[in-house]
Amino acid sequence: MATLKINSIAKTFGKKCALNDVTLSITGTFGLLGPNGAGKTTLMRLIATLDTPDSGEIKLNDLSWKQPHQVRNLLGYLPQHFSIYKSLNVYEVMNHFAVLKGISEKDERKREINYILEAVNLQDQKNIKIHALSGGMLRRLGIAQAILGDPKLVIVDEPTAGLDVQERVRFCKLLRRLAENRIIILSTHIVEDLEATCDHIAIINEGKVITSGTRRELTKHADGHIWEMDSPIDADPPIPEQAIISTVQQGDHYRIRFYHDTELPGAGQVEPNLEDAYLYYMKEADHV
Amino acid sequence: MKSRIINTLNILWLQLLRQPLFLVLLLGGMIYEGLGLHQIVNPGEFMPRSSFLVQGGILAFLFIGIWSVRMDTVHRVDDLYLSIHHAFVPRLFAKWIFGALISIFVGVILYIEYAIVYLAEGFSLNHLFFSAFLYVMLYFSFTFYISYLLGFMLAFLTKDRVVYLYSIIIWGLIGPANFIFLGRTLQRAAEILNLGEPNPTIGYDGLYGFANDSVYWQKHLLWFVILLGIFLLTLSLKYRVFTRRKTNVLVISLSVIVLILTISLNLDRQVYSAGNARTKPREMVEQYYYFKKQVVPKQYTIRATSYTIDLRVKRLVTAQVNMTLKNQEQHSLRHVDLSLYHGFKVKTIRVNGKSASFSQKKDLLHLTLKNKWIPGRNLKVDLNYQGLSSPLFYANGQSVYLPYYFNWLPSTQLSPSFTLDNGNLTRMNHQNRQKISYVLHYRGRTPLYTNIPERTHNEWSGNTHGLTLVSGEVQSENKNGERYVHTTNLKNPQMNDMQKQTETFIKTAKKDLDLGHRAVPKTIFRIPILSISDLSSEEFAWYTDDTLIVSDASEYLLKEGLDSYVNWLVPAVTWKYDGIHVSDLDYVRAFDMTYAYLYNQSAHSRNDSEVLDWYQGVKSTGEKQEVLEWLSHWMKGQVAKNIDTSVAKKKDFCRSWYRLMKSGDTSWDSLNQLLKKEMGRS
Ligand SMILES: Nc1ncnc2c1ncn2[C@@H]1O[C@H](COP(=O)(O)OP(=O)(O)OP(=O)(O)O)[C@@H](O)[C@H]1O
Ligand SMILES: [Mg+2]
Repeated sequence: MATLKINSIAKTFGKKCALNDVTLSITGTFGLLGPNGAGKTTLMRLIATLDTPDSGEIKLNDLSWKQPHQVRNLLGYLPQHFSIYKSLNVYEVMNHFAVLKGISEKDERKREINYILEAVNLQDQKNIKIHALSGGMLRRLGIAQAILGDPKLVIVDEPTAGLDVQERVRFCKLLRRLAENRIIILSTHIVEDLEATCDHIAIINEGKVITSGTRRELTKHADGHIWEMDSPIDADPPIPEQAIISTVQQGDHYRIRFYHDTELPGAGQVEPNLEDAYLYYMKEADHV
Repeated sequence: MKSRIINTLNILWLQLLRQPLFLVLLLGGMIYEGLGLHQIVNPGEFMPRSSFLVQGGILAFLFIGIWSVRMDTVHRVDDLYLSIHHAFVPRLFAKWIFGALISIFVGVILYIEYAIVYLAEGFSLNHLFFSAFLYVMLYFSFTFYISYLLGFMLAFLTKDRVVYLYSIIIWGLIGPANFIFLGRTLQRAAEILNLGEPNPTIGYDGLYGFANDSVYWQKHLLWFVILLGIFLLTLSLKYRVFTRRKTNVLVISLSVIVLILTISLNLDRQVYSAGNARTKPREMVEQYYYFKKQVVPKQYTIRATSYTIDLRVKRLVTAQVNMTLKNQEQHSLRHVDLSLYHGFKVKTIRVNGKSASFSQKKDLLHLTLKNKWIPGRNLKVDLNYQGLSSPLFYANGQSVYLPYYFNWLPSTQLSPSFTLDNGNLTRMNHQNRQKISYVLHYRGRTPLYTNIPERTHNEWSGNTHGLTLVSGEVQSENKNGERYVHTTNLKNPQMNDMQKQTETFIKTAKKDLDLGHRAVPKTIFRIPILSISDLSSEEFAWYTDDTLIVSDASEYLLKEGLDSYVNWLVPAVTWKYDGIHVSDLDYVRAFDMTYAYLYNQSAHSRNDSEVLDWYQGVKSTGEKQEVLEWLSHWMKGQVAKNIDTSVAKKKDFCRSWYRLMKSGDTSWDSLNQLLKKEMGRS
């Protein structure tokens, strides 16, 4: 199986250090998780050959990113803010990208476009102008153009941003389905998206990789640190604000989920999920 | 690459077509053009006056150029193309091609509208419509394309919104109306930057035609090459599209092209620049030059008997002239003087095959002879010269007007090409007294119209009083061995009327004034030969036995303007033909006025006595005043009853007057005596 190796990448913009010594090994469906400004987009742009790192290297098997032209033959890219010509319709846009990606035979192009539109559930919107698409449809069109030409490396930057819950769920399922035989890298700051799609996850913050591994490995790190307890509505919660992960109203009291390194009276230990793990990592990073 | 470009073109076209604004602008342009076409009745006149249409188009295309880039940069779609192998660059190239195609498209649409309207109005499909197409391609399409590319490059280099501001500034600088923004002080800059009609505030010259000169194409090309250079360089430096070696080759070859074009643009050349109150009228150039009177040396009776001319008219006039001169003096000569327009710089002169020393001062050539030139002997003089013709006598790749009376050939008539009469520029007549044999080889704009027949391809020969060459936006009609050359912008060229009126006049005047030999000319040129503020009435027509040149390009002349036509013919057929020189032009003008009035009265019983106010309008004292007053009274019939006021009597007077002039007496005094005698006053 192909592995994308990212080795000690650094990238600065002026004085701002956007990526610092990033090393990752990417296979399958890979999620980049991190808060705003963490460096996700920067990293993805480097992988998409839109920019070059100040140091370090990127390689897919023997193919080095120093030969961007060859890399581009393998790429499918959905930028963070995807937008396309409003006056064209879905098919015209897809056809344009198909031609640009070198699918020169007309029937073949037609077949592939139809296949992909079917896959992203845009078949009915084929003749609809872009300006008439909903945000979710536009995102799906974005992914559709990205996977045109059957790229081996698909990079999608915050594909679920701006989508409602239902759309998000559908979109994640779609990504899952597309993940066969290729590497998909997606970035998000919404943890739930990754639960449904990604085998491997890296958490980055302030340009640095905090951790990376399978979902299981990440949640394991928070084992024994996640607790829940009930607290009356009118009283102040007994837990410091920064440690609270979530507060849910249940009847006449709140159910509070929080981290704590040691046992607290009245609190019960719970199994950590990915979000708990993520927040726990971020909290640790803050302390450093 | 090809399919990528074609598909991108298709996508761009779909997008543009779905922009309501584009269609609105196109339609608006067509409506504006339609209004102009409706108002301007002449297909020649329309183009130079379409500047505002071009000015508007430039702005639209600047914005289309910006649009073509910003459609990808505003939402960073270009990132997407950059991540696809061979997508970014083909799309950019497609946009360059797209700009060219829509510029041509819009030009063609506007041209078709123009052609349909004028053809429907009854103009015949002639060369003018071809020239108009070239004009549209140059000043509409090419200019629009450059505007598009400027917009494109601005947006390509600056992602910021300020590109709109920049493009408005550029719009003010490169349009044909840029003088409005740049003002008088930056006039030269305005001319250089102007990518539209070079003479936007002046009328169409029917002989010169549209300003389709190659220099203007070169100017547009220079803009294009520079923009292309910046574009490719940006691609290379910013996007590393080319290898370093390719970049070097590119930079070098483009620099060479730019250099060549720049040098070429700065070469001496003659272009039509009409001038008006804003710019200098073209006769002003000559007015300054001839402000200082030139010395005319003693005129010996020497005569040219033959000319063999090898003429090349392109950017410059290049002439190789072999002429034979005959000494008709009683004594030998040690030198020869010839006149030649000062723009033509003589390089070498050989006399009887040996190189001779000479000097060229203003319009005069002075040759020193090594051996005595014995009376009755021939002298063979070979001259080589090159240069620019007068702005009032075209000789370039677009148009040629080298008439017999202009000394574009070395002439034995020593007067300078022009002189000033009360500050007004006057052309001097270099017509020969005798017929001369001419052989001409010509390379330049074709077809060439001349008054000697073409024997073989590019060789003309024949005998005439003077050689006239005409080429430009003109065409000819031949009937019964007579030829009529006129501008292409006449709806109805009126050949028959022209011939009839001319013939009637020449025959009548010949009889009335006892003129002696006067032939009806076989060739009539009806072409504009004057500049705008150059109005002396005796210059409107020039006549020799075989050629008549009439400065006109409107149908009005042979209808309501017939009186003026007679007014022009009188001087041409009488004193100009006979070479009578007077110091006071009012004297001959009084004659022209009087005879023309009488002719018009009898020929088409016009009684437009308003023209007679001229006599009072002239500044005069003494005898002159007396003559003019009496002439005025007599012509108007405001005299004592016993004085004969019949047209016949007055014509008799004109005949005696002309005889007096021919005898060399052109004093007001003698004329006064004659007038008294003829009127029967004491
Ligand atoms: N072209 C640039 N010039 C200057 N700074 C930049 C540039 N691109 C990114 N940065 C900076 O680098 C840091 C990382 O930005 P990046 O867009 O990679 O973050 P991100 O993880 O994608 O954030 P978000 O979730 O908001 O999309 C930010 O601080 C950003 O301001
Ligand atoms: Mg981002």
